[in-house]
Amino acid sequence: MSSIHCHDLTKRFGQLSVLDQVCWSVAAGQTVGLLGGSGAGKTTLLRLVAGLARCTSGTLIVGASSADPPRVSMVFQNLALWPHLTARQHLECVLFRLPLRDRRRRAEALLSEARLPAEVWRHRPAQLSGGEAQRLALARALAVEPDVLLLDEPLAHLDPPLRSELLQVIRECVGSRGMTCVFVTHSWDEAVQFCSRIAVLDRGRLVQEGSPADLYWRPRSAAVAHWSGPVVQLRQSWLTAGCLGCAGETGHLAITAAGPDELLVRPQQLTAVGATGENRWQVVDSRPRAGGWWTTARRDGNMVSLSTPRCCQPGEWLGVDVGPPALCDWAYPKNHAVESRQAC
Amino acid sequence: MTYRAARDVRCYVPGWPCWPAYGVAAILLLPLVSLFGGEETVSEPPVSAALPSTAFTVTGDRAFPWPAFVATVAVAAGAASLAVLVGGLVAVALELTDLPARSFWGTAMLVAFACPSAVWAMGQVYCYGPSGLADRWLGDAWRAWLANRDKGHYLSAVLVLGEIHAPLAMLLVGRGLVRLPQAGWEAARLSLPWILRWRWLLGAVRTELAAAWLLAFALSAGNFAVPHVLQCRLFPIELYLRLTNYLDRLGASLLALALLTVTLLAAAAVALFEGRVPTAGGEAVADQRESHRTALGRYRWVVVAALGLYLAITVVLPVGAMAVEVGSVSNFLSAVREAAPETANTLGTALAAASLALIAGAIVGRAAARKRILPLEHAALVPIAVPALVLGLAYSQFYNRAGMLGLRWLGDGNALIILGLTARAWPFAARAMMSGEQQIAPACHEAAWLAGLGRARRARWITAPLLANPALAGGLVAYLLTVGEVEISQLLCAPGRGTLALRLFTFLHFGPVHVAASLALLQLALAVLPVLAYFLFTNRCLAVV
Repeated sequence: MSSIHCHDLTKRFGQLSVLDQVCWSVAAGQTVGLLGGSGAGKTTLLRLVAGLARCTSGTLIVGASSADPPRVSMVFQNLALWPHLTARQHLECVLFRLPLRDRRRRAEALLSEARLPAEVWRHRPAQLSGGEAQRLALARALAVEPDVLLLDEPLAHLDPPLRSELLQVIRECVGSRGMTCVFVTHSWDEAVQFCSRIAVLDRGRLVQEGSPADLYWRPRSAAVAHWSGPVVQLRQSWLTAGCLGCAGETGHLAITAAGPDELLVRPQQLTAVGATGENRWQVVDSRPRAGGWWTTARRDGNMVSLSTPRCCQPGEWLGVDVGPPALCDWAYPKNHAVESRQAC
Repeated sequence: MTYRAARDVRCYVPGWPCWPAYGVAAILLLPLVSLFGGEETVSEPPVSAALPSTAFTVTGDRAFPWPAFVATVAVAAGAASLAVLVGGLVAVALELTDLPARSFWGTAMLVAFACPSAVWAMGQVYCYGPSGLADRWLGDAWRAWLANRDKGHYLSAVLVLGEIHAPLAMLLVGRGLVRLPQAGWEAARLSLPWILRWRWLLGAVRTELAAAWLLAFALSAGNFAVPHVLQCRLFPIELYLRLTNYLDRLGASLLALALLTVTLLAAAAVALFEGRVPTAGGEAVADQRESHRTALGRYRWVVVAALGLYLAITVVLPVGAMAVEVGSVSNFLSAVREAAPETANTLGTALAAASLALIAGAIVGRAAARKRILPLEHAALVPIAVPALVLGLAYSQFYNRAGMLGLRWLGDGNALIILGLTARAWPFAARAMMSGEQQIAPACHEAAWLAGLGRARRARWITAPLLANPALAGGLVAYLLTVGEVEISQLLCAPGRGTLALRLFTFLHFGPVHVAASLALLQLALAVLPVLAYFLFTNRCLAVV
């Protein structure tokens, strides 16, 4: 197993700085997620680790010792399958070091492990569906028995059910080998389900790294808060005016500040109560979601969204209480983003 | 940057270094510098019998032939416009509509591109010239009317050069049309009325249209065979006469420089436009095209009839006229038998030159596509516009110079003509390889490197299979250009080693018509059969431009 260490890693394309003094470490055997928007530098960092590009300055160490060079493998964002080879030939080509008979057996074992149906083993990439092509790319990456596996948005362009299924396949394949794995994604849900640690990149800088709970409840910036799950934006003035009920000290309610008068809280911090005094919000709509209902309410043109245990009828009045961040309670709801669009 | 531990010794380096590409381009283009040289100082005769000895050089005070120069520019512009009009319309029909038997029409259109210019022009003369097939069928009453309007045969030259370069325009515009799905063709079809849709279409492929016009202009301006056969006194004819009739090599060099300036300017403009065209980058755009075709409906047979009529007038009837001129099968076989040594020599030199051109094209084209260095990309495009006559003149002057690297022995055998033909064909092969390389996503190479495949294994298992088709297309185009080459053969052919084109050239002037027609048919067969075989085995279009 190999570790990855970056120190002041910088990559520039001409005048454009894509990575700016990134300091980052991944321990051997760890699975780490790299989260960030388009152009944040995720893929560039991955390419540097893979050796597909050279950094402009800084230090990058992959592997523990030069005596035993680490094998790095990658699942590309566009998969980079070879259009002229069949699925089985892809793996046989990579397994060239094995004797011919073992090569075929090993290729078939890997394809089975990636749950690629046997009837498509003779198909070329153009004849494979999106999910099958992803599985083939994963099997090819695993065929080299890598010490470090880099996954560059491997679930992009797949529908949600297929994404969950493939994520399960990746988790099994990676888990059984105990390799170091870096998982690049746009999706907080995928990162949470797959990674023990998550790093957030923003405009070429590593803005925060930690456990999913850390990032969820203690984001260092509004950008990290937005990347690490759903947030609700409130105004400090609503608290002072009594438009929101407050359970606890108002100074410790927000997970982070978004502006002079703006607070960011997680949906779990908001509770629906009976409308009293100024704390009166009118329900706009209520939609089903895992573990309850996602209700949106309005007051004087301002909107809040919160989780409610029951379906609230549009026009109904309710009060909203804000509680402190639940630091000890890692109550991140799985599949929260998969919202049904059915009317209640 | 510091890479420590094992990653230090393992970092991917895409492609090959650039210096071999620059080296190849420089070696093949270096003889052009001889056009800038002063008066020859060689006292002994040159090795090639076709070259006039400088001992007899006449350096008169002949003025620059401005009328021929202006006429050439006008004829080339007219031919390029005609080529873009015809080629563009055919490309639209082939790429954007549900025209039946599209691959047949595409292949048939390419015959003009595959056929040697001299043979093509001969076919037109045998069909539509005085006492030709048209005269025999329709009588010659209309000829006087036409002769009055086509004094100097400039109109004929425009038509024939336009026909020859229409397939080139078709390929170039077709390449632009392939990109339309990404450019929003479906949205334009749904939302715009037909007139605005055409305007949108012209805007979407304007870079390809401009590139096609400029390339056709450059190639037409430098064409020697067509004005020679049509007896149209254009600038290449003036250059040739200055060289062979007046034995004025210095004057010929000056004219060559003028011609070279015009064609290279056009090619440089093409390179400018080419730089704005996005490449496919490995995306499978071809598969998306079927769903974007416009149904022709009841106009389908109108388009088929128009295409059929065009091909009948430009291909079927002229080839038929050549066959009529041959007279009988025994005439043809006799001419072919007598031309056996030249045929063998032509095939040998063409295959050798095409192979060398493909190697040179692969080195330059791949480096240009992978490195994306502008000068290298231009180096692979601009030499396309160097006229064969100018190239032949430059090579003859360069390698016949006394003390010139001691390479005069090259002219004693086929080496010099092979080198000259290679210099003529390599830019086309380079374009084919560039086009092929641009279709491969760089990640394919990177994935192979990450999978632990060494350079040799990557070349054998990944690169070679993916580049096989472009290489085949590039080799075929190089062969087509070399098998029917007249100008370079005339200037660089060693004594006793004639080529088929040279024999045809001789019989065109001094021999019986049936022999010339037989040789033209033989040349046509040698050129067209490989094209048909290519389509039969690969079932795809020539991706050369």
